[in-house]
Amino acid sequence: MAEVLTFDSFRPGASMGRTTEAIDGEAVESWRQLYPRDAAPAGELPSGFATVLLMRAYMRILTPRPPGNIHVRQRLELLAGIAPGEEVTTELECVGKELKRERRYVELACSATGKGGRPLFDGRMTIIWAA
Amino acid sequence: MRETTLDTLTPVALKVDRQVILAYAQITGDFNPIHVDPEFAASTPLGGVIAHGTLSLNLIWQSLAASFGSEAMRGAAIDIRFTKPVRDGDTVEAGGRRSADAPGRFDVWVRNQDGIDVIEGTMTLSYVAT
Repeated sequence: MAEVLTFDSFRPGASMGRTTEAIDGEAVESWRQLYPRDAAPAGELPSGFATVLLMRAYMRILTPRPPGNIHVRQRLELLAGIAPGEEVTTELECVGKELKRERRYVELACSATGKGGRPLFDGRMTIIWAA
Repeated sequence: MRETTLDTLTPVALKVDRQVILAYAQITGDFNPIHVDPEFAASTPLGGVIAHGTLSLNLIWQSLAASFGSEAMRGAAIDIRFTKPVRDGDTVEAGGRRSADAPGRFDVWVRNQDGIDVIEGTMTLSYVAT
């Protein structure tokens, strides 16, 4: 069993990994039931799926995590629409970490590309790491 | 760029309950027990289940789309903080107001039924100039 990722294991400047997946019709249908008034551009996923793909990448790449991590800040820039079924590769990089008032802050940068390597979204997330 | 005189974003609301939280866990693959296990969540300092922060964050994007149309998403950038937890049973509403500080920038938020901000931040649009 892999060791839990701790604060000490983060190295600013280091890639944490990348993952590739496509959003299927079942997820889109679940989204529409959850947010029935969300209008997606024609031929594209609802814009919120950029956040979903980021969170799914976080879940897949940074594992196993200590229980109790807290997501405190999110920055995200949408660069292009994502097509249903398009394979999206999301990479996470540690860009900083800081111990502040006994809390362990980890800063992660993300970048996602789609078909042909076209940029889809960039962002950063700040997590208070539990251990 | 299209110009607009719109100063406030169209509010978008969501009633958050256990079914909604579980559905969102399925979409994101995030089954952190703080979101889905009432017994575990009750044993933590948070004292009970909280919804995923991004469940509410998505409402800001939807508020943007409802206000300006989906074209406004291109190049849109958001910078927010999750400031308070959202609980099972809360109703949250996203909105925004044009910022005086910069063209195309809006102060955005998600508020609960008590008027307390659970998300605060800014959104910058490249599509909407002024």
